[in-house]
Amino acid sequence: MLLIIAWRNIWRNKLRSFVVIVSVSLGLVGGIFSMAMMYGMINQRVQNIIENEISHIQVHHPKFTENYEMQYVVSNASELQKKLMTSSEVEAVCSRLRIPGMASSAQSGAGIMILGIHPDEERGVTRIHESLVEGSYLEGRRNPIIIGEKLARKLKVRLRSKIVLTFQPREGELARGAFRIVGIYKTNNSVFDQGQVFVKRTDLVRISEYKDDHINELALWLKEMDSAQMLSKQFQKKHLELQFLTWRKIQPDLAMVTDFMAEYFIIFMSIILAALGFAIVNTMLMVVMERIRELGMLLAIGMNRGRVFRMIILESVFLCLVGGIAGVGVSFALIEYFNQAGIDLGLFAEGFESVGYASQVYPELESKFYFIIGFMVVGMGIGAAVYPAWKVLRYQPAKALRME
Amino acid sequence: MAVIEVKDIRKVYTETKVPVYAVNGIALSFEKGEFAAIVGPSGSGKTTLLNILGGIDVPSEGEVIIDKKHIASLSSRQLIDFRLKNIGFVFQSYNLIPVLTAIENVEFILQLQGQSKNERRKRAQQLLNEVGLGDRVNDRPAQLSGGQQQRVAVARALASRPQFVLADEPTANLDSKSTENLLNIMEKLNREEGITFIFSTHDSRVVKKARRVITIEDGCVVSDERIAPNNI
Ligand SMILES: Nc1ncnc2c1ncn2[C@@H]1O[C@H](COP(=O)(O)OP(=O)(O)OP(=O)(O)O)[C@@H](O)[C@H]1O
Ligand SMILES: [Mg+2]
Repeated sequence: MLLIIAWRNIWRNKLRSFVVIVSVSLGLVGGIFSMAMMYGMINQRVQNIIENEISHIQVHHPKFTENYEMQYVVSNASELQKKLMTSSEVEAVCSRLRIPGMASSAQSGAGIMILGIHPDEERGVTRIHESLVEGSYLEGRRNPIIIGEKLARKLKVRLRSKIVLTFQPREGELARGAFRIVGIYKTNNSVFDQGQVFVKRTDLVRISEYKDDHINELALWLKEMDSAQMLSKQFQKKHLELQFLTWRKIQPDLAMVTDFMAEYFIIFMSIILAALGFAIVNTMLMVVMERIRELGMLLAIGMNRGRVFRMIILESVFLCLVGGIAGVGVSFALIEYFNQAGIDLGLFAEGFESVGYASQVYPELESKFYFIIGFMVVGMGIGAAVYPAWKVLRYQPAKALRME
Repeated sequence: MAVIEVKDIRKVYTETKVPVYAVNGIALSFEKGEFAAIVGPSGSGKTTLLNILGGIDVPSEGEVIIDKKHIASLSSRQLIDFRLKNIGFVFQSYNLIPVLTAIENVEFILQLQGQSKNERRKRAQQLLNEVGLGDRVNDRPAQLSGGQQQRVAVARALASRPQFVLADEPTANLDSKSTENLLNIMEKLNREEGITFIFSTHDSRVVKKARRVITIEDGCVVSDERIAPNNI
């Protein structure tokens, strides 16, 4: 019956309760939705970087990642590639020749990373072929190259222009080759676009007079991103001469941001709920002081203080929960809608892309956060009622009954 | 045998500039089955006395013995429980829980005592029948007249089968017809079921119905007359 009383008590002063409910729900919508936007942006960034750049697992000679020296190759790469493909968890594997170098046009030059790829293999792992804004994907002809839009602008070149790549195939030696631009790509990360160019591995091999199977990087795409850690460990055990790195190891900052998302969320929402909580303390104080004679009567007729305490707490919890459910419901609807429709931050696109975020944001939130919010709202309800309940329960029933 | 006995009680309020002796040396004893009125001018100490008799308030001095128990020896928890089981209260106003219906208000106190849902319903319905509200059980207090609300309060006060019922100016907010009606019900319950009623009042028509009239002034008993013998 305490539940019934507490629930019905909420509706005694409809306007006041309505104000509380609306402010709780608005506060939650604001908090949850902005968290979902942030989460969506971060997640997209992580996905983009994984899909365009680093994939799930990379394989190198253990010394290669220190200085990108060309003598550190993945030996027997094609055999290893075949072997890795047999694992049921692996979706695709591609082999690359990664060489740092210079790209120069008639106008200007830039330091870049040259990725010598096998076009068909690469399709299975990264999404560069989907990011083309002009031209086509490393097709035909001699020495085709794909570069990012940002680099094209910097070098002042267009589709079908020629650029020269210079690099160091061996210690103390320089190699150069002229490449024709067949495609220009654009990802959400302009730093990446400015720094990576894609050519056919076979062209690079020919120019640098390497052996045919000169490969210094394998990239793996897994069926389940979450199995990266475990798989990488398994492979590593079998191939001690190589280094297996998951995306988390390759970009630890990226992994950290996603891992701390739950903490951010809790801290952020706690601040919002604390602010709301103070308003509710005030409301509950008004509620109990207004009803002090009634509460005195309840104590007089034999309702013990514990029950009265619980009754007041329950009322506050219900009040918060109604607001909480409304707020979470609205947030959920908004997030679902914009998760499909997307939010265009067009105005700020350039700023966001220069730091690797997409300008089209798809807010999202894992369902566990809705549960966390549920608990936090109940906590706020309890917290906000403790002081008012304690205050009113200090009154002797005789005194409470006499209050004006 | 006395159900309540107070010995030389005093109640002093010291929060005021000059200490106020709301009750100043009262000794009284009430037998089972009494129908007693406490009368006196405003501020004479009626409410204070009734609150002390009911264990809602504690005297500054003196002893209160209810059903052979010294109230002072009980912890505040035990005291609340004692009130729940032994004493029925009817106040002048703010008697009922406004968000509960008439029957729920009566059931509430039975639930506090831990009775089962079925028992509760049955007894609450029966009590409301007795006070003539058998057909209004599902109305909330706001939908009932002042007199009807006080009758619900009487039904509630009786629900736990208390030793006695204390009523502080139960008719103060009622018109004469409702006053008469309420008193008739209380009188009937007293006569037929032997329930002890002690009530305070200003109203001479109410005083006329009482079989014992205790008059107090300035916190002291000035007269204590038995008008008719106790019915038990
Ligand atoms: N909390 C308090 N502090 C100081 N004085 C008080 C307090 N409560 C009551 N009194 C005083 O005690 C005296 C007795 O009050 P009480 O309410 O018992 O009188 P009463 O006979 O019930 O009056 P009424 O007929 O108006 O209800 C009054 O003089 C009142 O002013
Ligand atoms: Mg009074």
